[in-house]
Amino acid sequence: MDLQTIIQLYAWGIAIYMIIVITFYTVILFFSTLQVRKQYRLNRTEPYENYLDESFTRPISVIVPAYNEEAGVVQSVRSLLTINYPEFEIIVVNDGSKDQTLTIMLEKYEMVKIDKVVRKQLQTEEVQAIYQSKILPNLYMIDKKNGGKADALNAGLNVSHYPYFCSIDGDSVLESDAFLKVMKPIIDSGEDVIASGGSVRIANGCDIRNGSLVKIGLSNAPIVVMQVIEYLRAFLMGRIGLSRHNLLLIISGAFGVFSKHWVLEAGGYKRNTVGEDMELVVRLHCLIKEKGLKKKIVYVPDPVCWTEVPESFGVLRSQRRRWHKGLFESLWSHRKVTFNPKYGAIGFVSFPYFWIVEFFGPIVELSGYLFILFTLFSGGVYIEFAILLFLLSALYGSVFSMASVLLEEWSLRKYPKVSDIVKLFLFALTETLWYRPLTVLWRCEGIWQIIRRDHSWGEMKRKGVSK
Amino acid sequence: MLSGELFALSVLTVFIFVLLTFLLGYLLIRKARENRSRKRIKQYKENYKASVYDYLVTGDSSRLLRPSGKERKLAIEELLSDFSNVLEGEDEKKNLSNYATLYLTETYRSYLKSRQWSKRMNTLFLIEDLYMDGLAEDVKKNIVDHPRVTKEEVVQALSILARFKNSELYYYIDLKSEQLLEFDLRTILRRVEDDEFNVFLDNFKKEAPALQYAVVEKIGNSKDIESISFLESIYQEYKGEIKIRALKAIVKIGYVNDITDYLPLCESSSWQERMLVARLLKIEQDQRSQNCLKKLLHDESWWVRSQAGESLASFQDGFEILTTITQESQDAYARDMANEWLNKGVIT
Repeated sequence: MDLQTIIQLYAWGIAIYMIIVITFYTVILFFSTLQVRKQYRLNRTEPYENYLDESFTRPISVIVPAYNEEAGVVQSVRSLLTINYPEFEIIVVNDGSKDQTLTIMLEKYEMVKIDKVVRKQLQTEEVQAIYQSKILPNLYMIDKKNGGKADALNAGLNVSHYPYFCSIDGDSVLESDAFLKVMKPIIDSGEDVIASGGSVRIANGCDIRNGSLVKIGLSNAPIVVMQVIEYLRAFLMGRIGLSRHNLLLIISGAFGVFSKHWVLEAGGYKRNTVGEDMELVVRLHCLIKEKGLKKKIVYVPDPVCWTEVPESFGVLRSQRRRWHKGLFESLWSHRKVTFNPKYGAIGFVSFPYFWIVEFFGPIVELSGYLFILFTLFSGGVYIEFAILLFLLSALYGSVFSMASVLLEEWSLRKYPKVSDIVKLFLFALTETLWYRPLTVLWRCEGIWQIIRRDHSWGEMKRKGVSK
Repeated sequence: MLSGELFALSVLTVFIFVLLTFLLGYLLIRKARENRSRKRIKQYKENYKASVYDYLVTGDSSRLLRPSGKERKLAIEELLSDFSNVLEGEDEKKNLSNYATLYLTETYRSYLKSRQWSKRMNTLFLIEDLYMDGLAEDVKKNIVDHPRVTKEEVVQALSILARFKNSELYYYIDLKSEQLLEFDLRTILRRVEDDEFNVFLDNFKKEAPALQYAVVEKIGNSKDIESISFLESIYQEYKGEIKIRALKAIVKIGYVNDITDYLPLCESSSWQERMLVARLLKIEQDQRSQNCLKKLLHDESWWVRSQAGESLASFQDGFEILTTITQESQDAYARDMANEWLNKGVIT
């Protein structure tokens, strides 16, 4: 085989991969569009009025793991306190913070130490004390030794009183009807839905005061706008489509409600893993299939949780490396599911999708970029081919991005200005030029770290979203 | 060599580019129109607010506003819907219903036949909010009896029939019972008033479990002390879940004819029944209750222990009882629980 044939085969290999991926995305987009279109202009408050009656809804325990969150924890709790939901408790878990998280909470909410009998259903690091607020009796704080986010969530689960719990990041701001909306599918299904995840949107650029969202806006920082597009695509396109067929493997750690019974049955959150949220969802799926139950895990496009995303390349880089490692850990530790008939569509659609598109995708893409560079320098007939492939990939990416903006317009209509749409469009066009290659590179770095068995996590610096 | 492929790729590129341009154009026009329309509706609402309010309060038909055009109609519709949430008096509600019936009936009648699911749902919500009972027959014909109907529509349609005191409600609930979950039935039943509710009580024995649960739940929520005998008869006659539901409802009402009937539950094999009796024993604070609760504080179930602790803490001499348990009990779990309830007094 001569070099030319090899190159040609290689080019076709990439093209075929692209076609598979595009086909998959198109199918998902089709289902998402059907779903969103069905609910087009549906009244956004009426369907929830029946759920506001205390005796109708199930109470929720909200668990907020906090590690060095002094900048945002008070506002975050304040935002939770304004939630429109009949009955809930808030459990902040101070996971051995080295800053003033504990002191600030104790002071702000007049918390006192209580003697509490804890049903220790999950093993966690030692709990040093449990506090309760004197002014808000449904606010608790657990002070424990550092053990990571999963450990903190497990400690919160042990202390929680209610049958459903919601895990939420310390820097997130919830919209007031978020719980009602995320609990609706659980109640509607007669509790056949055992976990329900909500939409996560980006708070950078929005006006948030005292833990409440005052005005939605779009940041001017290109790196943030790109993440906005990415989130819209992931949530409105990917998750709606997958959720429709009970194929969802991820419920964002930033905001999701789970049935405590089933999470305990599955063994709680797994410690020492980077992607504990995905890992738990996969484990729940396995449990459902192994027990032959008809339980479901769903995604609700409506309830919105606003969260801060990185504004610097360094932090974004370590976040993306971490995510990719988490993805691998979840897929690898449950590798038996892949193409296993016992696990149905999860084994034949979700797992292959996550392996081929999400996990190995960056490697194929990176080699595609290298191929383009190679042909640019080597010249010859491939240069037109390379340029066209590049153009095509830039445009098809933009089509999916803009389709997500369309879905957003048909459903939530959160961004108020015409100029926001223009901005999203222009940035979407530039994605292939800089943002996509960068994230591909970082994800490949993640794979490299897996190979080198590098377990560093990378820190997420927060400045706090609330004023 | 690659000319065929290059041509195909070029065509595809141009196609996608054109598609993107159209998409952007559509989105921009849509957003701009939407924003303009929203602004106008807001303005109309502002202009009409006082007149609509005057009409609703006085019922003076000379003040009737005649909405013409889509946006004006929408503005009026939103105003009426806003008012329907705050108006208290029966006369005002009647005026509101008359207004809506006069100007919106035909529109809503056609919306109920719409092929778009969300449009039909929104219309159903508005028919209930604006109390347009003249549309009850249309709701039956176009929604409940229609083959394409979804469960959400059935629930909302039956809720409307319940609110309008429609005599066929029981028949329709029975007809659709396989489709409806307990939560749906509770949603519908909460709108049913006394006279109509009696039909459900009369037919209780032959109802499906989900409907029985919903009926019992409604009685508990209404805290109607006169229904205690009915609940007690269920408690006596039935077993399993419905018995537990009846107990729950009795606990909610907080009254029993004779506590002796419930004491055997202290020995029940179901932890839910033991927990509920622990809750019930708060009512009759005598020696027998105390003995039962002390036993339940040593129960194998955490929920039962916790409830027994709470009930004992509410006794007049609760502090002494719990202190004795912390000092004398052999059971570490019971001691912990007693201790927790002793210290509960710090925070109320």
